[in-house]
This record gives sequence, structure tokens and C-alpha cells, in this order.
Amino acid sequence: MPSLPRAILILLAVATIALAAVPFVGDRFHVQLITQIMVLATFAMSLDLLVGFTGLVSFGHAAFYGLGGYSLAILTRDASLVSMWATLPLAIIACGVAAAAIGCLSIRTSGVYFIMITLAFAQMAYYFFNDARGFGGSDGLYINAKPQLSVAGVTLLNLHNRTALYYVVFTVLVGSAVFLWVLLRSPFGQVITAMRSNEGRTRALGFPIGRYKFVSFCLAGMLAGLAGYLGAVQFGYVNPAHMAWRESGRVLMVVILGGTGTLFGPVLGAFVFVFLEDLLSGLTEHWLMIMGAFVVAVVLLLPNGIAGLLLRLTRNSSGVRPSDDAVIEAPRMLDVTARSGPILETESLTKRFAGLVAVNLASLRFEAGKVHAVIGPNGAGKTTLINMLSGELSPTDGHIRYKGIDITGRSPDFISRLGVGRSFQVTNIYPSLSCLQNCRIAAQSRLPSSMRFFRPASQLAKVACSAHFALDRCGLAARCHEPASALSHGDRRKLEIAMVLATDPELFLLDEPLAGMGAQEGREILRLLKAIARDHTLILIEHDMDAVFAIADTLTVMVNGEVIAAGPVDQVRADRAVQDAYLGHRDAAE
Amino acid sequence: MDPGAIAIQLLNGLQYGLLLFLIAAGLTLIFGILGVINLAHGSFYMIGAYLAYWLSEKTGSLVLAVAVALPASLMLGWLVERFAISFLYQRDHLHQVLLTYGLILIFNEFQRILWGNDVHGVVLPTALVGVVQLTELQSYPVYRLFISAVCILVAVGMYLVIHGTRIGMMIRAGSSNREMVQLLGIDVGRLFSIVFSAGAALTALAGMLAAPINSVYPGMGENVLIISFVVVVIGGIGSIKGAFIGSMMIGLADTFGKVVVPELSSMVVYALMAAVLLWRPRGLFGVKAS
Amino acid sequence: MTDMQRKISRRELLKNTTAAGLATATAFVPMHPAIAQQAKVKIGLLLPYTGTYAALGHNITDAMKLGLAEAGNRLGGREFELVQLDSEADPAKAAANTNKLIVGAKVDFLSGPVHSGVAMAMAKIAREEGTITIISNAGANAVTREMCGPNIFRTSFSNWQVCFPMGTEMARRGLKRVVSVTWNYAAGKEMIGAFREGFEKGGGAVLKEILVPFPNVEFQANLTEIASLKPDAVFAFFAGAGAVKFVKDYAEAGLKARIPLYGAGFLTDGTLRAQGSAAEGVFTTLHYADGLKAPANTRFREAFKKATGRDADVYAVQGYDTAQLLIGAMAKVKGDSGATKALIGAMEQARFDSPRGQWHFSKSHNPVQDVYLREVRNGDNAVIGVAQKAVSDPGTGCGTA
Repeated sequence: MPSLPRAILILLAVATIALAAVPFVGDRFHVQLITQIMVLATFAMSLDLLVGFTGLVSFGHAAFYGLGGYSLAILTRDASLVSMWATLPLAIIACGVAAAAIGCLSIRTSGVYFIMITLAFAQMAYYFFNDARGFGGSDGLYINAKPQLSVAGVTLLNLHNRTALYYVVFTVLVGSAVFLWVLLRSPFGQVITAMRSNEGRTRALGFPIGRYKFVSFCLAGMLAGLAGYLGAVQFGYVNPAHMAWRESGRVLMVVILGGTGTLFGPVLGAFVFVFLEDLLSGLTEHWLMIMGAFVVAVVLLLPNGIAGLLLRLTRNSSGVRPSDDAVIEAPRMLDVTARSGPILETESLTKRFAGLVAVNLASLRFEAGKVHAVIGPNGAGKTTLINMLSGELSPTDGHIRYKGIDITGRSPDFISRLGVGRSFQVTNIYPSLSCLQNCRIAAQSRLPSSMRFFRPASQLAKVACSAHFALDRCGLAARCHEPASALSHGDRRKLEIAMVLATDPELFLLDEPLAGMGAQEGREILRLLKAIARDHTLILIEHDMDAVFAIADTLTVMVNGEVIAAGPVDQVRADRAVQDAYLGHRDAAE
Repeated sequence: MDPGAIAIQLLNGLQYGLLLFLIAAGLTLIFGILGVINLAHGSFYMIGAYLAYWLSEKTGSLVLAVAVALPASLMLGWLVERFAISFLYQRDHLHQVLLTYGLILIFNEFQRILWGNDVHGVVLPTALVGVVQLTELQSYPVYRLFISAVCILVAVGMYLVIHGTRIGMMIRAGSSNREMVQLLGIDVGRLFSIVFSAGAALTALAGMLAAPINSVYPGMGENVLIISFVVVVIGGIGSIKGAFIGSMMIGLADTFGKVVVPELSSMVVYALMAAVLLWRPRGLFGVKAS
Repeated sequence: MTDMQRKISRRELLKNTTAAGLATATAFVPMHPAIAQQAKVKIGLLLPYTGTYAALGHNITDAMKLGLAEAGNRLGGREFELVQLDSEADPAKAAANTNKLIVGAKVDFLSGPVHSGVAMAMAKIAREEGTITIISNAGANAVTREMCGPNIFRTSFSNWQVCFPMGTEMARRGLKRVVSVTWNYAAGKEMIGAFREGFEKGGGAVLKEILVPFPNVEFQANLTEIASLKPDAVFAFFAGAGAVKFVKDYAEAGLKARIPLYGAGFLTDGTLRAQGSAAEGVFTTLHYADGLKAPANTRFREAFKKATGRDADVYAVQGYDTAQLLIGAMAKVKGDSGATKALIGAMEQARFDSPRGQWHFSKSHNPVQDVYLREVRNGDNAVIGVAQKAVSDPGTGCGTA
């Protein structure tokens, strides 16, 4: 999350103080109205964690809001349990369990399918509370005993008191904002943000993205449940309609209107949305038409919502300050002793796509500490081979062993964590992040776990260290605070290599590292690769034969999915079949 | 249930499914080719129904009403595409959701201003009144069979257009790979216009056909919106074949759900969609997104 | 007029753009502000003005305006204003909307809504705040049973009230085996529950209670099932578009000729034009019928038609009676809207000579009223008798009873 311009920080601070003062100056109605808005704002922020930061657009988020309220209603039904100590954690746990159940099923899908499957589960929850006997059906349930917070028999807070409720909701809103802000700066937050920006890259760096989505989904569900609990306390009434798709749609509107991925946007969105409804619904019978026109206008004129507009207005004046980073410590020396023996082996590796054989019975051995080039004409199956080695594709047949471990068909993140890094044919980075942030995410993947939620990721010394070291090796140290999108084509490729370096791999898979580079850029990359080859094993696909001969120790030649030759460069060069099938043609062609 | 009742329920399910197909076909094309999540799709259904009601009151003939309303809704679809949707092609899905949601509100209010809040019925053409007696107690309205026939005709027509014409070739190419169409040097703007207008008109046609049996009322668009999205997602976005199979599945699941597991019947279609997506995360015939 | 109207509150007052709305709106905006010394009495209306139930909301409102206009646009000698708020028939927004009227607009009286879920939220807050609340449609039994309150009145009906008499009536007609069908929501379940109670009391048996997912209007599967069950009759409750669709489908499937269709009155009320001939011969029970031969009814229907250009229906009658209740009680306390106790006392004593006939409140503040047996004849709900005289909801669990 980029740091906010000072003007906005001041604005938010003033708004927070103003909110804290409302019960002293506002009338009863406005105290209640703002309580209601703050509940919606908390709910909207929980959705922003999914939509704006994790990249999961949920169209069923209201299910958790409703469930939070229903938990309270059911727990307090016979008025025996009114302690907030008991009801609040139970309600949140109930939402957490529900979110875990829905989440573990839903995160298998993505995009529009994810939107629809969350809708499906929310509708099922809606119909459950609407149809099942014992939950009040479509008439809803009352909460007659509002929760109390007491210590040793002394009631500290009685939520019947509207001012008390106001401050509880206010505290929850501010607390949630702080919690999410801390979360997003934590290693966990960095990963989900990265995932939203580039899912494939994040997986290839070694993050089990499913697990991160799942945790994010559960957290958002629990936070929504907390909002639902407070919403139910406020009016003492829950109804299945709170879970219906209209409510999910409404909160989605609030988030988009406010500006996704900003946290403060959805809060502003909640205020604007509710005040607008309040204003318009009294104006004319056809108020929904004005509401519709407003929504259309926002989409067309303010693509990043209200928060986007504010950011645009304030960015010019104050500019973005680079965030302060941890001091660079001495880089850890890499293990430069060259291994002997095969680091990677394949056995009869085969991939078929609907009848087409892309790779056929490839049995290969890659020695450690060497540079292996895979060459062949377009469509020879080189990229398919690499994709199988890195886990992006599952082989139809055959085996892959990395350092003796069978990794056939394992996920890309698993293989990456074993020490296999890769770069892609089309440079694959996080364009919106700075170079340093790109490498930090990558280095973070080597932590035992990034499921850390509180400490800022920027304070992880080891991570910062690896990131700086990697940037340094790739000659990008001076540009570490520039956004990756500002880099030239060649520098982006270097950044990608730096990212892979930051994951500290032993084996480096490179898919056409020189593709699309100018002559000068190509030479720089080649020099970089040579340096890296000193302490890494490299497998690279490349078309540029001069480059291949300059760097490679062994050659593997593929034609039409078949490996026609493999071995030391000189030996393969001398191979007649290769000359006929490939090298000869190349000479003729050039 | 005896075999006779099962057979009749089968017929019910297929007939409901066919009507859903007419709505879902347009939605899946717009979804797959334009890449736009069009929440306002249900509004075209409502507009079709109201046009059928209004024009058949004016002209006294449903056939005449349809003949006028169909080009009108084609035109409306074209206008909406030109002046709203076309701004969204490069945008995030979320913006499309928001904008088309705004359009729903606007269309609903236009409907209320033009035609009021009452529930209306539409009179059937006399030729289509009557029932086919199936058993002693069970009979089937001729008009429902007629609707099914029209839906099948439209489905066949769509198949022929998509597999036998140049525009169909573009549609096929576009639904499997949107970038490709742009690379092929096809006038994408025009293709999008055509697809959107056709999708809108198909949905409006569904509304017109359903008007005599469903009655015409405010908010009717939203009721079909969610269910047609369910169909599209089950079938896989962009796949006409998927939309067809999906609507048959939903039609049958809904029908038999009501009879076999009445206490769970409201959840059946959603449970079916969830199950399909767990089995195949891109729907039955979904193409892999880029 | 515009100046005055802006003063009333541009924000809170929903300006009707329909001709009818304008006519009545002008009627209650005083032209001579000389007597406007006292603050105006505020009446909050939480009704659906958009969406599926909009027609009901408008009829209730316009009939209230008509009733108030007939009383010279004064309540106990005071001017008043109507604060209209669109409920959107959405229970999720109901509590906030009620709060907006009671706490925000500080209304003296609250009235509405159409949807039972909205009514439940409204009753809850109204009970806590003590604002006198008049339910002008929603029939949820609980509102005048366990959730009843001294300040909550209902001028419409309870779900139990309109269906129980149909149960006894059908048993009287010698029907033995019946299938009931409704939407799977609270109002539907209460309606068929009351029907079953009456029917079983009379010795009948309910073969099956079919619940259709709300608001699904695809009934074909259920109709096929009904046909294969071969009951003596069918009892149905649907409203609005669902009612139109069900009655038409029932007739189209050829069932009407073989298995007579009975229902709660809403099955054929306000929907007959859309249903056309399909509704002919359907029997229903309700606390009102368009064709009631009472002078009060004829007078009301003419006045309503004149004011709005539309035909009055049961919803309009309920709105009209709500106005009568307010007028009567406010006259008794001479316009002192703060005298809650006296107002409640006056309301409890109120006797109505309504378009629907004579009625008064039960101890739990639900109408004690005749429920008519009606048959659709020539596109009209013709009264063919009284199913049960002076039906009173049992009010079970009401503390004030």
C-alpha cells in the first residue's frame, strides 16, 4: 500500500476527531445515523480487503454480515447470555467458520466465476434463514437483550445506551482501519497485494496463493461478521434480507464508489452513499433515477472512485515520499561451490494437448553448476518443457526429479520453494510496485512463512538484505525506489532476474531472457547471466545462437516435441542430425 | 411419482429451460465477446415485456406488437451500447458492474413513469389459446408449446448463424479469444455493437414471449437477472452450447427440486451452480481465460 | 404554492408527480398561513413507492390524503404534514428508515408498511420509542400478538384473520381433501397455517402444503403435482404478480374446471384486469370487496376515483381508515398530539363505519371485522356472503390483551 499524501492524512485525522466529537454536538438522530454509517463503513472496509487488496470480488459478502447478526440474535434469544465477552467472540467465530467453509470451496475459482460462486453460497445462506423453521423466517428475529460488557459484576458498557454504542462502533471502525493498515504492511499483506497485481508471478515466486486467498477471505468474513453484530445491536433486529444479493451489491457499490484498494475510500463511500440516499429519497418519488444517473456519472467521470479523485488532487501538491527502508546489512555469501551430479532429471516426460504432442518422451539430465541451453525452432516444445519443470503445466506422462525428489505435477510454488526459480518469456513483474518492493516480495517467499500479520514487512532485515543484494547484482541498486513500470524493457528483464535471485534459487529456469532486447541490452543481460552462472545452475531457452554459444555448457535440441540431441556444446554442434535438422537451416537462413 | 407425471415434469423443466436459454444466450455472448458484465440485461427482459403489453393494448394484436417491439429493442440495445457500454471495454469488471447497476435504476424509473406500478396481463392471440389434453387431469397449454418451439427455432437459428456466416465466425473467434479478433483486423466496434444489440433484442424477445404467461410487473427484470447469470456461469462464459445445456439443467433442477425436495427447493439452483463450479471452475464449456 | 411547499421540507416531503398526487398535495398545503401558529402535526409514512409493491404504497397514501382532505385537512384543528419515505419493501433497510422518521423527522404518528418484515422492524422500534404507530397493511400475526404494544394499532388485517374463515367455509362446503400452496415466506406460512386450522376444525384434511420459493413465479411443476394429487380443492395465497401468474397458469393447465380454486382475497385483488377470464369462479375471503353494497363504500369509491383516476381497492380502504382513525382520535384530544395516553384511549374506543363495513379494535389493537366470501364474476370480486362475522384475531401472547 503506497503511503498517503500528507493532505489526505490530515483530512483523515480531522475526520476522525470530528467523528469522535459527534455525540457531544450532534442530535440523537445524527448520532444514530452516523453509528449506522460507521457500521457500513467497517463492513465496506472488510470487503475492500478482498476486492481492493486480494483481488477477490465477492458478491456474497453480506452473508457474513447477516450471520454476525443472526449469531447474536440466536445467542441472546432466551436472554440468558448477554455478555459481550461471550457473544462477540462466538459471533465472529461463527463467521470465521462459515468463511472457512465457503472460502475453501470458492477460491478454486477466479474472476467472474468467483463472483458467482460467492453469490451462490450467500443465496443459500439467505434461503436457509428464510425457509428454515425456528429462525423467524422472512419476518426476521428480534434481539431483545442487548449485550453488555462487564468486568467482575460491574457493567462497563451497556449497548442499550446509544452513546456507548456509538463509541463502541467508532472504536471498531478505527480499530479495523488500523488493523487492516498494519495487516497490509505485514509480510502477509505484501503477498496478497502482490497476488492481486500479478497472480502468476506470485505463485512462481513460491507463494501458495490459495492459502493466502483463503486466509484473506476468512479475515474479511470475520470482520464483516463484526460489522453485522454491531448492526444487529443497533436496531435490535435481523432479517434474512440482510444476507440477500441486494445487500452484497449495495456494499460492493459503496466500495467501488469510495475507491477500491484504499481503505479510506470505502469509509468515505459509506458516508457519501448513505447521505445521498437520505437526501435523494426525500426529494422525489423517482429518486432512484437520480441515484442511477449519479452512479453512471461516477463510473464515467471518477474511475477510481472518490478516493481516486482525492489522491489525484493531493498528489500533485505534496508528491510521494519514498518510504524509509531498513539499513542494508552485509549480504550473505551464497554457496558458490559447484555441485556435481544431476540437479534435475526427467524421465520420458510427455505433454499432450488435445491430441497434439508438445513434448514427447523427453529424458534429460541437467548437471549442477552448469549452464544448459535448450534450443529448437518455434513450436518445438521448449516452453512447454520449462513450464512442466517449473510446475505451471502438469505432465501427461513421465517423471521429473529435482535433487532426487520427485516433483512431477507439483504446484509452481512448491517447486519454487525447493529452490527452482524462473523467469518468463514475457517479462513478469509487479509494474505498480517499486523495484525494491518487487524484490522484497520475492525474498519474502524464502521466509518459513509469510503468514505474519503484524510486523511491517519493511522491517524484515533479512528480506531487505536479500532484496538489496539482488538489485545490486543486477545493477538496479540506484533505481530501487522507482516504480517498475518506469523501467526500460531491458531493465525490467533485469528486475525479473533480480526477483528470482532474491528467492535464492539453486536452479534458474529462463525462458528466452534475451527476447525483444536491443543489442546493448542483450549484452548487459548476457553479462549478468554469466555472473549468475558462477554460483547457480541455469537452464535457458534461447533463440540467439551467438549468445547460447557464449554462455552454455550443454545444449539440448528439440524439434517437434522430440529431443534430437543433448550433450556438451561442442559435441552437439558436431552432431550431424542436429546440423541437418536445425543448425544447418539456421546458417542458411541467416 | 408415476412415469406419466415424471414425463410431464420433464416437459415443464425443458420448457422453462428453453425460455431461460433465450435470456442467457444474449448474456453469455455479451459476456464472452464484449467482456462486459451486463447487470442491466434483466432490464431488456422487462422492457420487452412492457413493450409487448403496451403495443398489444394499442394495436390489439400481440403479433403486431412483437413485430414493432423487436426492432425497437434492437435499436435500444444499440443506443445503450453506443452511449454507455462502449466506454467500459478497457475498464475493470467492477466498473461495468457499477455502471450497469446504475442503468437498472434508470430503466426501472422510466418503466414506472411510462407504464405505472400496476401488474398487467397480456392477451394471447386467439390461435394460440387452448390446451393439449395429456391425461385425464393433466393438460398442457398450447402457448407454452409454442414458446418452446420459438425458443428451439431461435436456438437453431443461432447455431446456423454462428457456424455458417462470417459474423458467426467472428463471434466464435471472439468468444474463444478476444484479442485475436482485434488482431485479425475486424472492425471490433461494429462487431460489439451487433452482438450487444442482438443480445438485448433476444432478451427482449424472451420478455415479449413470456409476457402473456408471466404477467408484466415492475421489478420483473431483477428476478430473471440472477438466474440467467447462474445459467451462463454453469455453461461457461461465452459458450452458446454451455448456455443451452446450463438452461436445461437449471430448468430441470428447478422443476424437479420443487417436487422432490420441496423444503430445499429455493437452494437447488444455487447448490447446482456451486457444485458445477467446484467440479469445473470455468463452467461446463468455459474457455480458459487469458 | 411552491414557497410554502419548500417550507414544509423539501427534503422530507415526497412530492408526487402524478396528477392525483399533485391534487391532494395542494389540498393539504394551506393557502392562508394565518392559522399556522402551532407546529404542524407530522405523520410519517413508511411505504413502498418504488419496486414491486409500489402500487400498494400509492393507493394507501392517496386514500389517506383523500380521507384527510375530506376532514378539511385539519387534525384536531391543527395543520399537518405527511413525511413520506420509500421503504423499497426492503426489511434490510426498515430499521434505519423507521429511525429516520421517528428520531430524525420527529413524527407524531407513524404509519405503514406493506411488507411484514418491514413491519416487524418498525414495530420493534416504535415500541421502544413509544410513537403511536398504525400498521396500514402488513398482516404479520405477531404485530398484534406477542409483539403487540399499547402504541401499536393495525387498521388492516392479520394473516390469520383472512384465512381462518376460509378454512371453516370450505369444510362447510363438504370439501374433504385439499392442497394448499403459497410462497415460502412468513406471510404465506401464516396464511396457510390459519387456513389449515379452520379447515381441520371443520373436519377437512390438508393433503399437502406446497411452498414455492419466494419470489419465484414458475409454478408449472407445482401445478402438475397438484393435478396428480387429485384434491377436492386448492387453497392458494399469492399477491401481486405471483397471484396473476398463478391464477392464469392454474386456468391454462386446465385445472380450474376440475379442481376449484380458493384463496386468500389478495389472490384476486387489484389483479383481476391482468388475470382476465382466468380468475372467473375463484373463491376468496377478505375483509373487503370492491362491490360491497354499503353507502360508505360507494361514496368512498367514487371519491377515490375522482381524486386519483384509479379504482379503489382493499389497500386504499386500509389507508382511508387509517386517516379516519387519526382524524377521530386527534379530534378527541383537540389536537394535542403529545397526549399519548388520551390518544391511545380514543383510538381503542374508535368505531368505524368504513367502506368495508363496521369495525372496531380488539384488545390487541387488531380490527374486529367481517370477513366476506367473494367469487370472481364478470371480472369483479362479487360478495356472495359473509364467511364469518366479526372475526377477531386471538391475539395470543399479547400482554395488553
